[in-house]
Amino acid sequence: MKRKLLRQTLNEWRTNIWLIVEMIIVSAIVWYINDYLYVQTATRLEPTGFDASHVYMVELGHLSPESPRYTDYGEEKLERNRSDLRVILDAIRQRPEVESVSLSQGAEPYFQNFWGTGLKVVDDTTSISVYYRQISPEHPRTVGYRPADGFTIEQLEEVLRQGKPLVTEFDYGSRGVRGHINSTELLSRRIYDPMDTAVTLTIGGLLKPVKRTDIETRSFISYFEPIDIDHIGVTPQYKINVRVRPEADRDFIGRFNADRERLYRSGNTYIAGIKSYAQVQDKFDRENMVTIRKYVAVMAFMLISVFLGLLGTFWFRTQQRTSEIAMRKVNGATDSSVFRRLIGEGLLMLAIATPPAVLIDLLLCHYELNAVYGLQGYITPGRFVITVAATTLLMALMVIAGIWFPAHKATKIEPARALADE
Amino acid sequence: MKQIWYELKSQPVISAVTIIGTALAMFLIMVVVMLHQVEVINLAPETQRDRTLYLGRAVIYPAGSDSYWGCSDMSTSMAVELTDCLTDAEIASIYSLSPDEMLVNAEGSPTFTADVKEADDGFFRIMDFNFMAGKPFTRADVDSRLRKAVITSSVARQAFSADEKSSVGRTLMINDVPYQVTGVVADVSPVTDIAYAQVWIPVDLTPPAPDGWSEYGMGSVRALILPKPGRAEAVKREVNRRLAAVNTRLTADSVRLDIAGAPYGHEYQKTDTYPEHLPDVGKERRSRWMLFGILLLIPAINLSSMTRSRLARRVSEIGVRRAFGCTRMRIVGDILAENMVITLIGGIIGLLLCIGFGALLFDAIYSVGSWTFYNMPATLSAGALFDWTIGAYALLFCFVLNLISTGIPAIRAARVNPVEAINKKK
Repeated sequence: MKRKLLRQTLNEWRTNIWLIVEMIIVSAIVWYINDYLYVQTATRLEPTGFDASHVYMVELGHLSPESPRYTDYGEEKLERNRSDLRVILDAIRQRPEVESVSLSQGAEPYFQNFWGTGLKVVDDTTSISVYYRQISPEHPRTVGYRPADGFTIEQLEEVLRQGKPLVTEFDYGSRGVRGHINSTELLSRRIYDPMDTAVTLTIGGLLKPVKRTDIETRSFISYFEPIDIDHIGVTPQYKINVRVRPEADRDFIGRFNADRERLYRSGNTYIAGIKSYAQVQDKFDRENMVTIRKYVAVMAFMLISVFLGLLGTFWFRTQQRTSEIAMRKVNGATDSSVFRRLIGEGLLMLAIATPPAVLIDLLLCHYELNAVYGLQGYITPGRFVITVAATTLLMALMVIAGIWFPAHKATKIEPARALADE
Repeated sequence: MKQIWYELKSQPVISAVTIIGTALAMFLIMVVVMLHQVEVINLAPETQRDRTLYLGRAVIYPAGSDSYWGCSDMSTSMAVELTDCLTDAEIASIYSLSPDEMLVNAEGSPTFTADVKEADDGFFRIMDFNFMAGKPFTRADVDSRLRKAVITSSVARQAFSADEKSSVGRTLMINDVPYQVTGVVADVSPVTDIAYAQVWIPVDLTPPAPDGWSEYGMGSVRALILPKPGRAEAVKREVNRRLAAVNTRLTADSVRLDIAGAPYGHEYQKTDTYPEHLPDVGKERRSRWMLFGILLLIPAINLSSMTRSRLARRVSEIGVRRAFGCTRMRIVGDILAENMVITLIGGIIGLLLCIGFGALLFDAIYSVGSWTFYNMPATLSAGALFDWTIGAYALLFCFVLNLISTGIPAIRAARVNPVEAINKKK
């Protein structure tokens, strides 16, 4: 039986070879896209280190001196702006829906802020490249950072209040670490203040790693410097983060905006806008989603092509082989064995096409033409097996679907009528 | 024709498979073509894309070094120095590429956000905005830093709840600063991202120092130059002479300013993602044609196996024609023409699908670029959807698809020996 199947496939080699070539190309392309989707999904499933659900980003504005509403406070400008910011923050805190409010710069979820700096350990050559972020003490709680083991959020908040910075935990050899040190050891050392190297300070506590966005695959260690409102500049470019109680999170933006002019404007400082972090995420994710949509469209097209190609070819084939199939039926072949034989032909072709396709996949990995996934790089054996298996499964489904209809028709052949033609 | 119709009807499944396969392939190819074409063809208001030269990258190198120290858009003063009063330019313009999201409103009414772009008067002469009322701001407005604004009709409606005509002359508050509306234009799609904004205000051509991010020419504006006909090369030479003069001056500070191969044409501007160097347009072209190749090859394999099977049934017919003295070329030509009809049917369906898709869902697959977020969705105007170049590409690809899917089987079929072919008949 098996040998017959092989012989039959060989007999129609000219058509089959083209179908096999098509399957090889399609399989390689589908694999490439599967691999990309795998990386995207795996990256998104990793913990981000923050929890931005029910959190909103509020933007600050400062009136320009050209505005008719601008008040010139002269010498007192700096003091006045600081107290205006406090007034606005307090007004936001007093909303019944609000759980906590924080200020931040560079530390807003989903923003791919590149601001980095180097931390230098005192009396040592060790240095660590970090993302530089500024946060007010309530920020870890507001955007849902997780404390590293041995710390609590309340404790970290207190540390920030005391003016000590935080870092995200890391190990020997983490990205950006030059020298032999891990985060626990760093706690007992002094470092130079990155903004003023004349000053040395100690790290007050550790957070679990924080990704900048959910689609970031390799992030640096983050360094969080506390914001002290008594020392900020004239027109600080901070964002205000607002966590809302989950049960009260209904049309928060609408209600906030309704009160905006009345409650959140003080002196020359005002609130310029509010967005939920879900909206921010959508915005930053847009280009990625466009790419994913394009890839999925190409993949669907490729799979449909295989389906159509097999449908057309086998339709002809069963027509041409009517008498042969009839003959087999006369000799005792059941409907299902005829059906299985045809599907078997398609799957045999796929089996022939798969090894060269896998070879192409391996070459793509070898030349590092596929998607990168974090520290794991271009490929790992597990990822390769999963993506190749998914690809082969999709291909097999298309093969079966494509041949199903012609094969079904073949089972309907009535031997008596078909052979009467002879 | 009749014969083709008869063929199609006699094999409904095969015909459907052929036409669906062709239509799908053409649809996908045409979407790729459309995505590219809308970026390169002259598209209102960017109706002079093919003539315009672009510049606006400032890359700063420490003297004698190959690794740059900073890279951004240009400072206003540097852009003015390089492009002002070029001998061979008809118009030069300075503008900010990415609009700023600002709060706008009519005095006393609720605020909303709008994308605000800074530009000079030349911008409105290079771009062909559809002014529904009023006119652009003038050189005098720009020079005397008057707060004038051109707005889109949707901003006019939202701010003033009024039509275009009665919006002209009214005061629009932009981040709480009053601007006088001089003109109202039809909405602009981000697809034309040089022109795009919802509000345009005059750029300050003589900003107080410090101008930009560094004294060496980095900042936040770009420039457009419309050369006199045939004088593009002369403009490039003159800009580079001025650049050389700037660099002579900068030697004192041990830095060198590079403008990444600018001024360059529109396709370069579109490839302009990380332009420390002249953007590599060739690479984009190659990968696009490779994509076309794959999108054509797969359906071609399918179609050719079906054509072969169809021709196999007509061996005797071909044999008879050969016996009566029909040449091989003639037979190949006939088969190609026959199949071209089927390919064209598929092609037209694919093109219509593509136009429908472009009209309704274009925003889902178009991204203006990383880190660029616009208030308005990317939509295509009728002019973009029904552009003749897209139709021409469709025809070209139909022809190529037909040739590769039918050519080989047709030649093989025409080679049959008439005696054998007729003899085979049962």
